Amino acid sequence: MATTRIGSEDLQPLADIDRIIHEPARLMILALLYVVESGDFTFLMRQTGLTWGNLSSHLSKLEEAGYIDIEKKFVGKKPHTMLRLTDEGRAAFRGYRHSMKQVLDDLPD
Amino acid sequence: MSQNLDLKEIERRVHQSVFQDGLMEIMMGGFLLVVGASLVMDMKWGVLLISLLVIFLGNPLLERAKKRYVYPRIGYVKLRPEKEADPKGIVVAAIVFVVILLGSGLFTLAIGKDRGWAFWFKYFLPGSTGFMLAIGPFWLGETYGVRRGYVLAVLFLLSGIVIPVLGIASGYEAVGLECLVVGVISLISGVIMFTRFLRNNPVVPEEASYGNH
Repeated sequence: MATTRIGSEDLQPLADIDRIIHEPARLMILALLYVVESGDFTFLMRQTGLTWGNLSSHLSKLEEAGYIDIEKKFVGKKPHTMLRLTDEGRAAFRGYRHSMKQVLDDLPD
Repeated sequence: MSQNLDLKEIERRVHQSVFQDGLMEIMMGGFLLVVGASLVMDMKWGVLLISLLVIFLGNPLLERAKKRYVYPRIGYVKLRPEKEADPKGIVVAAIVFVVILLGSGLFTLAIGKDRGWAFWFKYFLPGSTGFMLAIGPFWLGETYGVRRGYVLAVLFLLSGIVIPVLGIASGYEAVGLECLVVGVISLISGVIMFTRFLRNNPVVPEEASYGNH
């Protein structure tokens, strides 16, 4: 019996999906930073519902990838962390949206 | 996943979270109450004084209150520069205003100088003030999706028409009453929102807000 195999070129867009962004928590973080100019750690914690540790680890990964810029400063005697999407992060997020849309649009109903 | 990622909805939610504390309503309510009381009691210098205070101290005071009560609870976010206002909306508003102005002017001329001036002072002054005061809250609704802005805009417009038409007051007194009515509503709703905000949003523990990752 002959089977129809999907060519690897058909699946190529899926392989090109940015795995750093594809993780739901990081996608949430990037989406939030995409619609604002910058936000602090508390803002992201509140909006995403992530715990402190969880959010910290995702932010580290995004920072390593060069997608976000983390600025630590003191407000009075308290440390304060501000986060902002870099130009590279903004472009990567746009690219991710585009790729995902393409992949999902091409799927049959 | 991406197809369900509605960025406009996320942006709207963020904007609403920024305006959920009620501090702006409290400040606006307080300002309107002083302006209204000054006009009703015929102390027009009060309007000038409170306007100067708001211009020079309004923003620092609001920021201080936010630093103390809001940011430790929901964090700080800097919104992207405001979207350009819809030029169609501005053109329509300008046309409506000019039509009302011209209509009122022609009517004034038609009924004679003295009666015309009385009419202008009684109806047009409170009505046009209500219209102008409605622009700010309406802009807030249009730009940031804050629906309360529309409610306040409607209240300004309605009070600017209803107060003189029902003969409750006219001229500056009507403008004063208009400010008092909207000011009381704004202040009460602001206090309720602020109390609810404090209750629903506990302060985030300090070590969490540091973000020491």
